[in-house]
Amino acid sequence: MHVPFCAVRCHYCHFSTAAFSGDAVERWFAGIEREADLRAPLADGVAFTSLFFGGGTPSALSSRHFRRLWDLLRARFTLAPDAEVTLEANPESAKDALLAAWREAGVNRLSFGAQSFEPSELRSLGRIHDEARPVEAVALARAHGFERLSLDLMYGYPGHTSAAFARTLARAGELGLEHVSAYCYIPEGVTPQGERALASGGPAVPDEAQAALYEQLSEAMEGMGLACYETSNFCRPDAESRHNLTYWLRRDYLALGPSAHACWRGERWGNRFATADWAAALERGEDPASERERSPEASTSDEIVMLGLRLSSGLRAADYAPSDWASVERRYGAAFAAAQEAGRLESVPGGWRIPRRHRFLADDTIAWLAARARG
Amino acid sequence: MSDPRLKNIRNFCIVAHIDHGKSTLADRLLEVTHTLTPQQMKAQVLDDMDLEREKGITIKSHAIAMEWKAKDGVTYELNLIDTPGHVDFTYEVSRALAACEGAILVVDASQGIEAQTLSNYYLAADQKLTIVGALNKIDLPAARPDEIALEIEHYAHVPAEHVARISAKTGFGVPELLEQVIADVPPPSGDPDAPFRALIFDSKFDQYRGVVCLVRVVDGRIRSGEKIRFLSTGAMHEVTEVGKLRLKLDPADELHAGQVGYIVAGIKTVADARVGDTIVADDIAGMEMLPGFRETKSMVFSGLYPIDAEQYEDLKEALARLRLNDASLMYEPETSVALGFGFRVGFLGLLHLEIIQERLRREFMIDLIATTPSVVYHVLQTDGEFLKVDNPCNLPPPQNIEAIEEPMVLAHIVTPTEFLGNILKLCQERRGEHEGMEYIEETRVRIAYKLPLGEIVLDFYDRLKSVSRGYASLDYDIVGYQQSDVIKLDILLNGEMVDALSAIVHRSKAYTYGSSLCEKLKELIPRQMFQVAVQAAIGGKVIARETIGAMRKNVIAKCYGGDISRKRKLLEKQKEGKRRMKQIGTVEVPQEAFLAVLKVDRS
Repeated sequence: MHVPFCAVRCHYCHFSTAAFSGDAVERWFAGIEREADLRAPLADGVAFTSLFFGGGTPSALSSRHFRRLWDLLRARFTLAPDAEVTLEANPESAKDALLAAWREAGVNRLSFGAQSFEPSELRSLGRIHDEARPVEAVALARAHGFERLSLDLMYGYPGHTSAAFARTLARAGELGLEHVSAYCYIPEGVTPQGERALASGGPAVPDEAQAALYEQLSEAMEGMGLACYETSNFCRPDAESRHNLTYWLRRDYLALGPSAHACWRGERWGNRFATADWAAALERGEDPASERERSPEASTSDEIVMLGLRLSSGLRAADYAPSDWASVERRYGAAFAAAQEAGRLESVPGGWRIPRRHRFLADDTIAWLAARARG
Repeated sequence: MSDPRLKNIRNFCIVAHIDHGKSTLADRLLEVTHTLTPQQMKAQVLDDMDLEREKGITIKSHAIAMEWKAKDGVTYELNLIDTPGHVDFTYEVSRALAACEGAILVVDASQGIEAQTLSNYYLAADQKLTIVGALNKIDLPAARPDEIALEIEHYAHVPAEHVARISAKTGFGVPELLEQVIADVPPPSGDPDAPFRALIFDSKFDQYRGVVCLVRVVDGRIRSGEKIRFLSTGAMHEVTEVGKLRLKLDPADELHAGQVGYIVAGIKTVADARVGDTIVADDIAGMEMLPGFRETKSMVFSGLYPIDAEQYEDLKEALARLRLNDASLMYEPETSVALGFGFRVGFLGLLHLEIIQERLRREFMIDLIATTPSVVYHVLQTDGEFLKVDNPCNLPPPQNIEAIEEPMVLAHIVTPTEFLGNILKLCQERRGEHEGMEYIEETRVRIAYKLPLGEIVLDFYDRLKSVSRGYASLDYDIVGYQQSDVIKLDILLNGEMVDALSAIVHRSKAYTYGSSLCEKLKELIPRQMFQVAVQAAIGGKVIARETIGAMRKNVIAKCYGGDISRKRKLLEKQKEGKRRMKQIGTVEVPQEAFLAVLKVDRS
């Protein structure tokens, strides 16, 4: 569920966002209602095990708007009783009224965008909160009974140092979190910061430096009792983001809102990126998807390998439909064996994984395998 | 003395330095003799291969018969034989010249005599051809006809006042030049009533007729239905067609002594109708071979490997097809640990190698990796055995080698004097021995150097052009073998030898060559998951090393929100990159790395 509104746009962000106004919110609501009507029949008889409010900034919606959105969705889709319901929140917007509304509706997991605890870094990243705010937000969320909290961090941006990262990691470590997502900075040409980084020519931050920060991150996370379960994600035992696992295990998901992407029963589609385009398509009675493709068998197995090998648990037969796994085996079986021979993969019960030391080089092995896949 | 029946025939060729206007003059001759209608006329008709037109070089010999009603009222049969224009094909040129009685020596009136002008002149003089001098491009403002005519007088012994002045481009002076050919070039000798004997000066493969032999009939006559024998092979064939060479093959009842034409006799490949061979009537024994025949000898060898292993059969087929029409192309299967299955291919020279590779790419759509070109070394082993080595991998271990000899050339370079210093330095760097120098005119000099062929096969010509801003010209002849302190240099990637990168180099250059090759490889081999040592070694002793640091990052950090298109695109790109790599041991090596050897500065 993509909520495109933000109070302020961060300097590094390239996601689909829109200016916040009463009219814009109403138009978006109308669009969501139309799209939900359009997609609901696809999910007839399905109980969703996870729901994710992402953005943008879902926490930019008022408690009244959030209840309205919630009711709209519940009227059309079924959630499983133990479903994971995550909401991305800006620490700045974590206030009593909102937290209560989220909790009451059934949100059971919050993901706070902190990025850093260094004041100068927060300013240069264009974040609106100060370094103390995430700490308060986490405490307040706990007080409202949220048991599953995640924090987003970023590293490896221009000027980022190991000492500064150590301070951020130490502060994060004090929060007793269940989950941390830490993303290595990618300069995006369409963002102010990305443009600055790219205009300077050459890689803004050397691979060596980013790799060293990743190593530092992995160690700090282990120290906090959080294990890496995907390239950029760390958690306590059994606290994985069920929602993100859906993507990585290539299971079915539906999507609503501008720029949202779905993968549903052998078909992938992505909605129009800009909120106005997406809304206009729905107003004309059209499907808001701008890209759509059936997945042939080969690309399904390529995706399974590409996504599954990001997981620390590895790529395991048990996680997939037998027919999908059979096609993975047929196309990649020989390549897996050769990769093990070359030290690129290690075997796990019922599957394969990328050795820990190569986690930051995963794409090299994934491409190596793809180049050797049959048919 | 010429038989009176042959007195109206003239057989001649045009020789010139590249770009001095040989092909343009040929076009004009065809035009003024009305051999071609204007509609049939296209630029440089005789160079009919795309590559020939592009490179401005004739690769195959061609011949065409023309008729010309001269001022004396007599109609003459003129056979123009167009010769290959590159040092790689010197032997082929010499055979084409042997089919003629005269040669028009074309010299650019502003450039003057160049290296190829002289080498071609010497070839023509060796065949005792009558030289008709012609100054071309006299319409250009930079033309210096009087000075250049004196150069021709001095070097080609044609009196300056007797040198024709023409513009092949506009046609000025061309009819007069033809009159001069008729007046100066003697008619062919030979006896139409003697036993049949003909010289093959070229052969080509025709889809419908099989091999078409281009011949000069020396004695006797030949008709279809008669049986002929090839003296070099002893093979017998029955003639199915004879004729004249016009724009197309023009069948005739017979060919007789003095004439130039073609013979078709059910021959399957051009290798059975070798350039320089003698054809005789089958029923007459004891006929002697015409002088000058030589087995084709490959001077430069290279391994050709398909980039995609599945194209091996295509490559095999393509080489067989090319050989149908190119007897000088030699090849045999070869395997490389690094590159898999391919062929060791022998070429007449570097241009020949380039042409074949280019034709394989263009006409047969085969992507190739070619290993470093190598010359043929003569190796005397300690056990007394003698070996010819054209592939560095086949060089015996040093302790088994008594002596190695390498092929030498005598190179002639003509250059404006201002570049003399640069050129002497270049030749010195290539282990050249200065043999002589003479001034052609005050500002131009001709230098003679004895050089190892191995030092000039790779980039010598390019370097020569670059140090002389394009002004220097080069020509060379193979002059035999000379003992040399050459050694095999190996390249190791993480300790594993890469056979395709081995080279035979002179000991004095091994260190420089090894270091710069290692540097180049470091640039071209991407970082791997582990550190890679790139080493150059002689007989197991490492003499140079570079280290490629381990890859530190190759992962797209963000992969959530369900949009995997970006990751998929990246994977697609990386996958293609991986597919173009050759796996050598544990190291993945991109194709470009195998070309590195061609780019290493050897000076």
